[in-house]
Amino acid sequence: MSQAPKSNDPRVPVDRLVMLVLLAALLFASPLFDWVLRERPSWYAPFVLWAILIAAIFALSRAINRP
Amino acid sequence: MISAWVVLIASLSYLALLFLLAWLAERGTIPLAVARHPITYTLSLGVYATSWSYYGSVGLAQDGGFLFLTIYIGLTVAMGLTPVLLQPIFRLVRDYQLSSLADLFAFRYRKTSVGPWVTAAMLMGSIPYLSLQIRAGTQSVQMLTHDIPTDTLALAFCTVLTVFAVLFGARHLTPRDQHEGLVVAIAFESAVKLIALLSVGLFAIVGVFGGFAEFDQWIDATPEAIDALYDPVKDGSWLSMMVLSFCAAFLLPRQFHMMFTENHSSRSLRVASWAFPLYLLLLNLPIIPILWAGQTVAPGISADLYVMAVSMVAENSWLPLFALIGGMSAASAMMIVATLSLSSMVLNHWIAPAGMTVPQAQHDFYRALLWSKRVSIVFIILCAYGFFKVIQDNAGLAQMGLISFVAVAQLLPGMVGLLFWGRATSNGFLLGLAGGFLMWFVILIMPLLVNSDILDQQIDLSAIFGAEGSDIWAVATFWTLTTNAILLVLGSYATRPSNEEVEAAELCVHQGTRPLTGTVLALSPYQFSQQLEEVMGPSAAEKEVDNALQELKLDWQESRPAELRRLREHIELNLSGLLGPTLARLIVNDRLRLHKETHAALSDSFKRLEMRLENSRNRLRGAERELDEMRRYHRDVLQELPIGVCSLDTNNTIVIWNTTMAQLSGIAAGDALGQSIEALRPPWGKLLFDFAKGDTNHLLKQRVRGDNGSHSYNFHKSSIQTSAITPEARNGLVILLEDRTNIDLLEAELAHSERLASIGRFAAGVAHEIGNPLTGIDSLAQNLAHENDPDIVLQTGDNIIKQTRRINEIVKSLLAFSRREAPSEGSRDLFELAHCITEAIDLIKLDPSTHRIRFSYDCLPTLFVHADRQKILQMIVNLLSNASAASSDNSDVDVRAHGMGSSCIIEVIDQGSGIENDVQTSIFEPFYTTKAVGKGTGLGLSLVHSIVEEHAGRITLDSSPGNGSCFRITLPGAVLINTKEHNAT
Repeated sequence: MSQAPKSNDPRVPVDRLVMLVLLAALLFASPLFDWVLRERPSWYAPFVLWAILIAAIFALSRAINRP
Repeated sequence: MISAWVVLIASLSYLALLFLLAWLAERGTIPLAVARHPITYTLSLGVYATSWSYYGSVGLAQDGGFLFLTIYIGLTVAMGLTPVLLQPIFRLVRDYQLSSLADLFAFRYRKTSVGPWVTAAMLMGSIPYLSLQIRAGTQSVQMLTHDIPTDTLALAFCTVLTVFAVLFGARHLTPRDQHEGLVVAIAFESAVKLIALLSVGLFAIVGVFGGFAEFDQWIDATPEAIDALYDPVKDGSWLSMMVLSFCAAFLLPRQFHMMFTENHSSRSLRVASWAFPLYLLLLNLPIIPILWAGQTVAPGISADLYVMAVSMVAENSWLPLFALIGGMSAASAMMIVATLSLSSMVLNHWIAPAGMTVPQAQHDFYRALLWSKRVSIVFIILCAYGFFKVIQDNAGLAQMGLISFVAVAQLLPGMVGLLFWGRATSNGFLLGLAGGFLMWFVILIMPLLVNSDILDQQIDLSAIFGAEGSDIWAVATFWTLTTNAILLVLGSYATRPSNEEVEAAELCVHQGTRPLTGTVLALSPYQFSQQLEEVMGPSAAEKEVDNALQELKLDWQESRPAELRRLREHIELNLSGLLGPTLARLIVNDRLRLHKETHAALSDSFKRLEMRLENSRNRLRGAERELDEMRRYHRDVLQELPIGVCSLDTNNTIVIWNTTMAQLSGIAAGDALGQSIEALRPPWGKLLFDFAKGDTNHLLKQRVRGDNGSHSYNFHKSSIQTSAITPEARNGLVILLEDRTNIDLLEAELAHSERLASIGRFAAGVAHEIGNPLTGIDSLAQNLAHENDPDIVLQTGDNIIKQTRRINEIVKSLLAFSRREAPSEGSRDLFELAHCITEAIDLIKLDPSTHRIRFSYDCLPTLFVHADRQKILQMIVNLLSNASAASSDNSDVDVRAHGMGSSCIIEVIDQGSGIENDVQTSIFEPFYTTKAVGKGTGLGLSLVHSIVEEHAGRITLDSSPGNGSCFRITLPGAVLINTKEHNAT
């Protein structure tokens, strides 16, 4: 019997990638919050945190949908 | 202070500009590439930022510090979960033409009461939010001009927005409730409010504080301002606020409408997953500077009004007017989209089902729907106005917004069940929804009604839950969602899901395919139209059928059962876009009935499965993915097989029609699949149907004249009997079609070469046979010169003629034997077998090596055969040649032929060396020979076998070493005829 070609697609399944990102968020959330809520932080610190979150989403979106 | 007239003209001009943009987009002046661009889509999602965000965020920042950001961080998390949360919802909305949250829940939970209850819940949750917009709009105008009373302003605001909501979304009916104009207008509004708020924020830093450096100095000098922002986060209920905004991101009716209903591609959603949070980040950057500037310049007023107050510090009047326009953008966008979305729910789940009881045939169906939608819009805005009048100033903007957020969060447990938990039932969902809303009313609405003196203080039960102070949102979120989720789980386990619910759960949770059971009773699209007339009226019914036919690229003459089944499903999808899934299903089930007992066309099931697998390819992994790869490989093998393959189900409907089959028949796969085999165009329909129904499994060398000329085909078939656990519908038949036109040409060429080779072997005999009469003719001719007796001269002449005839016969038989015959001729006629045998013996006797053998034959002259005479002659010559080669000197070779029923049996018997048993299986193979190298080609018996097969005959060999051989050939088409009669005819 002839052998079917095997998939060479190296992409990680979407749900696993999302879980990976959530795990990373869990690990890094605490130090980030500590940084934001440190003694006398700047007024824009929460916005920086928010921007990091957006950048992570952007990277996730690119990783999932790269050709 | 700005004149009321300036404000009125500016506001109306701005709304008119919005309408112009929407109109240009709908006309196509603004190209679709712009209207459907992901950035336009992302900006249109900015409808999330309402007056609450525009004005109320400053108030919330004043009271709760950075807690105001949780309203956006929760949404950002939801957008981050786009691949696993929002994309599946979008796929369901797009695939099943759902236009609202109520449609989605009604589709999943499959109970007629689900849609109306979700609609009621969404109305209850949205009315406070709508009234918030009215209040923010009137407050901001009143700050600019004190000329107009609040009630008049509110009523005017509601009237204008009602007109615009109708103009934007209910001017005409659109399938699936999609409006390019609305998307463009809302995107424009989002851009305006962003620029307006950034302008006010910039003015706060530059105009109020004196510049960026001074702003920093002020912060350094006022550390308590920073502390006031951070302290509430350390103690506050940020998690519950984030949960609420997470839910609001996709469960608010307006968000759902812009995010899913108005969306055209999953790419837009992917871009929005990061671009929309970025937009909100930019929108919120100026909030803190505006808050501090407001505290500096207008400490006495509500922080909700700081945006206007700070802008009014500017010496010119354009900034406050621009700030007002920005606020109006926020309020109007929200009100227009929310009322459109809610009106769609009211229409689909309240008005239309009620209208179903009224005969519609006499009415204009579309006009009735349109007016119902317009009335719904007016009704919803009136409700919001009523709530505004009742509550007035008893709640802040943020408070009213959060009341709505808690209300929409009640759909979260149901949505989790919809997407991830197939066991959730409609009863569980409704029970959870009722419980959650009851808690919502008790904890959040009762205190408002008590404050407005509508309810007595004693009835207020909110204190039981400790719902007081700043923790009220955490308490409300916890109790409402906990109650809702527990009741959903208990209710689902306490009840059994219906078959329809199980089917819908499969579609939603596993993104399976809808099983197609039954075939449509209607036999044509005309009958579809007639059956829908009673519900929709003749013109609407005809239009719906025509739309569905065009979208499926079918015509009104369509009659294929599988295509009619698709047409029925497509009409249901289109009606779902107009009336919601519940009503669409009711109409289609009632009017376009099915034969439940019959199986759906297997071809359609395959097509759906294929489409579903194609769409879900990226989600497959592990063994599933490898199986899919294997499936694709097998599919491609079947498709590209260089032999025509066609499979039929038990109803004789074509399931597989591969590329070669399409090439050979000239019928494209798209035209054949789902078609009944006999309905294929001539000659294939009858040919394949007769073969499928016939007893024989093989039909060889059939000449078929098709579009590409006359070709020779072999037909083979085999029945498919799957295992017992597989549904009966999978049984059927597979037909293989083999084009043997080229093989026929080669075979003819080979046969011709073989005959020429035989003639070569006969050459010496021919010379001898012709030489003898020639010598005789020569002698007779010489004698004539000396003969005077006329009688002897005449006799000599007769003798010369006889000898000449003898030569002529030899030459004629050689010519006939060596004639090249085209394979397409297939010239079969009735001929005398005995004559053919004697001719063969005469020919073989021309070979000098056969002179040592005695040839004899036994055949009745009345035995006639309907066959190709030249090929039968070659067959006997080849067999005699082989027999003589195997025979010893002076032995006999007999040819016997006799009739048996409608067949004749020809035996060629020799007394030669015989054939070994292990050789017997190979002797009919081409190029197989037992003779010495150079003595034989190995084609003689192969050609005999080929000729017998071509005549649908049979050849057997009876031989053993040392006892001679007997080749026995059975040929059909034999008949006994009186020779005289035959000659006479």
